Amino acid sequence: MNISERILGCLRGPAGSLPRMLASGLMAGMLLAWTVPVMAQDEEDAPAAEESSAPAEASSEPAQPDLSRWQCRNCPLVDGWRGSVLFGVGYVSDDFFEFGNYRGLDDQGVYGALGVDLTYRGEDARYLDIFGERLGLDSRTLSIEGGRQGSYKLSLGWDQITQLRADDTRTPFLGAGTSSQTLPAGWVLAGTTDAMTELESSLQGVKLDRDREILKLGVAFGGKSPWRYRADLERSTRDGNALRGASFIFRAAELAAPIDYRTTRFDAGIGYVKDRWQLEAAYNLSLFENDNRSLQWENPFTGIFGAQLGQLAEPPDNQFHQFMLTGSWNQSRYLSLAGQVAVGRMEQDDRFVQATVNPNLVNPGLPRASFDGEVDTRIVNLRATSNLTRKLRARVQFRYDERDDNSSRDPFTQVITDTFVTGEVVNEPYSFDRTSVEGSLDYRVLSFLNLSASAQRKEMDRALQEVEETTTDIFTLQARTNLFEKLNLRAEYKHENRDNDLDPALLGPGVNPDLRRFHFAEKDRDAFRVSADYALLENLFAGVFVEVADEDFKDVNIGMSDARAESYGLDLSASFSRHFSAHAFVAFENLEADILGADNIDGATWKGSQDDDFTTVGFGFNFHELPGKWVRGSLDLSYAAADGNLEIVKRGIASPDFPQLKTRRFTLEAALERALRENLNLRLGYLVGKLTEDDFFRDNVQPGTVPTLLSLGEQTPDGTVHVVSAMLRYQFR
Amino acid sequence: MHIWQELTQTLGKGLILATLAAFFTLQPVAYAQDEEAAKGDDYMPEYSRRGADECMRCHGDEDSAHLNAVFEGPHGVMADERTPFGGNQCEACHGPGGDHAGRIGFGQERPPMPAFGPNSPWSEERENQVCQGCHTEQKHGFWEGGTHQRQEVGCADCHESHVRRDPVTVVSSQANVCLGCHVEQRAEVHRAYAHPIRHGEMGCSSCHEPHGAPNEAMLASPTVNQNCYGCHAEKRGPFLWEHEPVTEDCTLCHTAHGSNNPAMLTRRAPLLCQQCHSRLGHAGIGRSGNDLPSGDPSAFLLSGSCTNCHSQVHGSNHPSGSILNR
Repeated sequence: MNISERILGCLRGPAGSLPRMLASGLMAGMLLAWTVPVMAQDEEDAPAAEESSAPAEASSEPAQPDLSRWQCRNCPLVDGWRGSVLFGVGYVSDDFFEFGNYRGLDDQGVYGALGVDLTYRGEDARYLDIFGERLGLDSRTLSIEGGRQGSYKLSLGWDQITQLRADDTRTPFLGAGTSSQTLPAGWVLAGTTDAMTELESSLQGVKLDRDREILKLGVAFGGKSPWRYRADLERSTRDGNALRGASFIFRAAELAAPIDYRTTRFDAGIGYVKDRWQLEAAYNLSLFENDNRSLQWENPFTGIFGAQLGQLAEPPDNQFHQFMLTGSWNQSRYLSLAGQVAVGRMEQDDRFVQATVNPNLVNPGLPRASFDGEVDTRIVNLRATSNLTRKLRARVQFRYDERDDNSSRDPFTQVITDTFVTGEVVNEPYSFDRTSVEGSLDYRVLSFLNLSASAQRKEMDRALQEVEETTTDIFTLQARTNLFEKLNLRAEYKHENRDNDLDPALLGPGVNPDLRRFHFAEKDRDAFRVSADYALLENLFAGVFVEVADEDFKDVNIGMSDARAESYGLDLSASFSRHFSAHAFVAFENLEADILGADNIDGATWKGSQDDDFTTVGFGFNFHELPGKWVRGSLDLSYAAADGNLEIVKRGIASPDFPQLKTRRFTLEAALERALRENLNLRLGYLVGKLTEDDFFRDNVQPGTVPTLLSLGEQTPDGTVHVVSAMLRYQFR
Repeated sequence: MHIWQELTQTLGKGLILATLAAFFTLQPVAYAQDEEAAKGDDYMPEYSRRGADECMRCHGDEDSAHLNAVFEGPHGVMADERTPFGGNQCEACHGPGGDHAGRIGFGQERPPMPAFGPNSPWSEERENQVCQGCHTEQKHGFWEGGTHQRQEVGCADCHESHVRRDPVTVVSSQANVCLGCHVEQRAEVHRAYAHPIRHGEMGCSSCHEPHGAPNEAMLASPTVNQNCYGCHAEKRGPFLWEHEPVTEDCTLCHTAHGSNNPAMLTRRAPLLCQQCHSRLGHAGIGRSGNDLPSGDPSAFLLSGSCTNCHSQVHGSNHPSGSILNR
């Protein structure tokens, strides 16, 4: 089906459905509304249309001034350096690995603190901009950009992001974090962990962490010519490890799997920019490389059929090429077009690892040496907008996203967990295309009242799955008003309906025939949101919001049956002067979902529920440019709490309770800056972080706790850290 | 029908009725107001006589010192003819200031500048057009019809021009700007498992193109998955054995703004997996408190649950990896 057929298909829809008729009516009405006023705009409006056709031009532009008299003699023009350099030391009170996640403040002791925020400007528009934060820590950023403003620019960036997951994890494997992990000499194999007599004595610490380092290089040319050129090269390196499960039949071990990834991205574009239209042709490349082809580990359990060694495939090298055309055209206030069309290809042809590394099995041959994976992507995103009158605006959006998987398809004999050989399975390249058409009308009823209505139809066609087509209709109605000068009120209602063409026969052998996968299942979803902002005083504002959403999956006996979300909150902000402002907020959220299941298809039925409650509180103030010595200061406090409740009711009887999942995080950050000399300030900083978690999935699960799982024994964090810093800020002015 | 669904539908119906009532009853008033509104945007006095020098007579004092930071930023570069100070100076953005800078009678209120000032008569839309007159890069070309434009967000609501460095263009301070309005997302980024937005390592624009990209959720890349693969390229494949929801949409299992579940998953395994997997054998069995360490500890529930064995949930390139455990 080609794209035009998809659009028509979307607009048509099956007859007899009121929402769909409404949607078709709204879209047809919009098309009509679009064409009629443009063609038959009354004469009174016509001049206004012409005046407004060039957005940046005034309707009755006054005569241009004689700029030769505009000398700007009193302007404090800048040549040379401006900005500041911040340097000093900090102290971290305790070792707290998880607190250092993304911060780099995980080790107790002194650290160097460095920041830079400088700009050089020359008379001829040449400039150099240097910006760096947290340069003394493992999570840091630095960017340098220079060039001649309005002509060209060159940029260089360097980011380092540290992810710290756990440092209390332990493993008996030698070579943890590498692609080959072996058991220590004298290891005693056993069927369960409690019989592994050498386990406790063999455990050694292994940290779960990784580091991402990104190097960026960019160049852009522009200027008086309408042509624009840009090119950006980015090299991202990830090193470290990640937790990964590795199994033999129903026995598993958690491994610290190696992460040695490199991603190269290259984006280049040539654009042409005119007053009312612009077009850019761009090429995007993403090249992923992994230093490890596979991860091998020795089986710590007694292997069946001599399964002593296992092998996991690591993510293969892959690449993605895409050509994209983006553009926009503001023909007049009556017609604006924007869009992007992209054609891409994902490729992956890494050499396969062996079907098994178990020497006791006959290694089945492979139908090919590598995958020859090739997926073509075709994307169209288009939008047309029209200000039909000063009060009425229409918008039509069309989106098309196709994944055409042309990868090889062959039968592969499966060796289950390097233990025994079964039959052949043919790989299934998944293709899909999804189309969305949306029409919306915005109507300014009064200067203080705006109404918006939209209707959207989404269709998705898939291959090789039990549902080939899903059709979703979404209707949205929104009202915005500032009826009273001090009050802004918004209300929005959204209804969503999804149908499908399920063929249960395609669910496959051994699958519960009542299963309705949640992303295919027919459903209704209703959401209502209202928010209000009120000016309590001239400089004191309050905001409230409430949002409820309910999702009902129709006739689902197995799978997700319903989900709910509620959230509400309050905001306060105050600006007491240009120098002093404060804010506070609190938000509550509740997310619930019910999943229905049945043991072994016709066994006990059960209902599982997850219910998460969140509370988020924040408070802060800051002042700056105060007269006197204390020139700048800030305080930010945040508190986030989450409680998760899981429940299983089997055969109508509640099973033994799961402990509550809990997260509590409190962070307070304060800074105060005092002028020492004309160009020198002292900045004192304080940060306290308190983090506690209860998670029964991990807590009390030591390496040998679960008979069939040799875990890493990761426990939830619990601790408090204080960080103080003293820095000097040298200012260039 | 669940009570919340009844509630949301009732509220929705109420909103529809109120909307229709407002539409039909307020029409006459609407047209009169429309004329008034148009006058504000048409306000176009003469330019001042001496440009910025005239402005600086009043706004060059200590109280206005913060405004002078415009000369440290990109807008204050005289040698770049595209910038305000390469042309009509203050009045390039604030509109012609002849009235504002002109003589006024005793007791008479000084007329406001047309744009970007206290009581300025130009509408936000008109002010936005001032910015768009110069900022013609491709991303700004998407503004018309984008979600922010439809919601009447002004350029100045997010951007500061009288500064050397606009906070919304700095990764570590950008989220403070965006989350001032996007209050639900502000709560979400504080959840236990979230992208490092609250740490200042990622900005909202790492994923979103706020100037109105024509794709879903104004993403920086044309589709959701392309957006995610930008940083998580190892998940892209294609793999020999695909996990079909992964190819469709990462957000089927992950919540990008933050979650109470590890890896920002929408739910905890095994329930997460059992939304789609129910079959003979262990996959469909409801796990309970009996499977905790205090009872009969089970690898089907604890630690990584299903992923203890099926760890290749994003796809596997192993010839024997059809059930994503190799």
